[in-house]
Amino acid sequence: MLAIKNMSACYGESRVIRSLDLDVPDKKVVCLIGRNGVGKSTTLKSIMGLVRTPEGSIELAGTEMRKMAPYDRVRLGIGYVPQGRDIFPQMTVQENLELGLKAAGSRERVPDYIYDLFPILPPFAKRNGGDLSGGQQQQLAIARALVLKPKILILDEPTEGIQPSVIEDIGEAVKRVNRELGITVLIVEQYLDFVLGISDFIYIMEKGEIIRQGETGSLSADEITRIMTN
Amino acid sequence: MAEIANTLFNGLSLGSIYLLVALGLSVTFGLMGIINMAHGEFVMIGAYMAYVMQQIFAALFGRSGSLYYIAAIPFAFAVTFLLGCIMERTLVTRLYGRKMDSLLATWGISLILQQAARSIFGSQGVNVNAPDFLKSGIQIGGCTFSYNRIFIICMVAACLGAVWFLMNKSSFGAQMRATMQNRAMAQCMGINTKKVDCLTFALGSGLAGVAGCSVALLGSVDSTVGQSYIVYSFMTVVLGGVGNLLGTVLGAMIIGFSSIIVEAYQSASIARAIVLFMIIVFLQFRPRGLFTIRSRSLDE
Repeated sequence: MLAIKNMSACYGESRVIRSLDLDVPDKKVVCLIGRNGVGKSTTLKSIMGLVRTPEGSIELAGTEMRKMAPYDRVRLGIGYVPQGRDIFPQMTVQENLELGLKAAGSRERVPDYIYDLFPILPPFAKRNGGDLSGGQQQQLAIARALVLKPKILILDEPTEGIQPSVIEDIGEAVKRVNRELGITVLIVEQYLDFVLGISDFIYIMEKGEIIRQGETGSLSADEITRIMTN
Repeated sequence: MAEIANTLFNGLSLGSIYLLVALGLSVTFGLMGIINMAHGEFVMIGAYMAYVMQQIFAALFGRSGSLYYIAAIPFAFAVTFLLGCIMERTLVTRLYGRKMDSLLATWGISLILQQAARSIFGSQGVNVNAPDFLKSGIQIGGCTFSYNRIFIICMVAACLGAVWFLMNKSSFGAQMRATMQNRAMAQCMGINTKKVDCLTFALGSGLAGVAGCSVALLGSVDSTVGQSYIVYSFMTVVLGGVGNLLGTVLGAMIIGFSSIIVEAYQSASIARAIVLFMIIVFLQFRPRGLFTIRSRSLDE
């Protein structure tokens, strides 16, 4: 589904990712893990076109998109939930959800599967996004990214700052998104139990490079912890 | 009693004019963060467009009549909208996030536009004749309410309603608000932010053009006519709270009424100084203006 080959990413003149190869197979849940500051979020931002990528290729379902603007990548089929959620605080929950549809020029309503996946949202439809709790905002951010039914859903640390009961709900929703809607998922995450509970494949990152990869069952929690703390 | 009614009407009228000029600014400065020093010149262009339309009607029909002014309003909007679009694409787009640079560059544009107006229309002011239906006024008790000022108040209300509807009820308005709140995330929702930037700036410029049409009714039009309103209009946006439409309305009314009330006891220039001083003192205590946008995620 998503194939990154030999990609570099830069902040100004500073190159933070070098020659990255990463493959996200169709209809799988793939996790990218690693310590703080190794380039995980930058990798996701590069996929979205928010960071300059002077070299390499980024293909979604066979279409090269390295030189595309972020909004064109979204139209190609990427749903993105950034670290910190970035919901629009002065827009209502309903407006946040409808934004993707409006940007696509669609007059359709928010699909029913969104409310089925996130039943906490309808009661808050008229409230401003900024007034929701962190967990509610996270669910709104994921729901918003799913409205256009993307080919791939990209999540950046979805459990960050969220209470455990809501983390379970988010994990369950991600599993349903993958199994019931057939959407491929790429997650950057540090919470190991969450990663092991939902992923099919794991990449471990260090200093802007992939240092280890494997199917989730082939890597034990102890092994991953050892690699990440070395 | 009549004197109080007259003062209130004059305050409402002056506040409406500030509001009309500030409406465009509340879009470009309040929502986009661009300090557009050429905004006053878009007002001036709007005023000149009313004059041009008057001349066109006079040439075509022998006299300008009244309809020219009705035609001048959309014409002024269209011309300034187009110019705003060109200015955004060629200059402003390179200046986002560089407030000082945008201030200097747009000031340069302001000087160029003023000189262009002098070259085209001459350094002497030109007069836009009020259309026949705005020439008299309505007498209530001892007060006279002139039709042209009532018309301006109605036009401001219509523009305000249109801007509110566009921003809060239209698809483009939602995309515009999203872009102004978080540009990167708006792009990640599929919004073409470059197009939104261009249309938003053009909209602000178009509103300045409409303001120019109303300013043309109040006196002679020359290349510096926009400058008379620009400082108060910036003050209006800042006083109301940047990015807040209701704040802009209240800011304009406060400045309009204060100016008229102080002018009743002082000369116009002293009154202007006193009002500006009051605003500066107010902003010392509430630097974000009357309305501050708050939310949990912004506070965190």
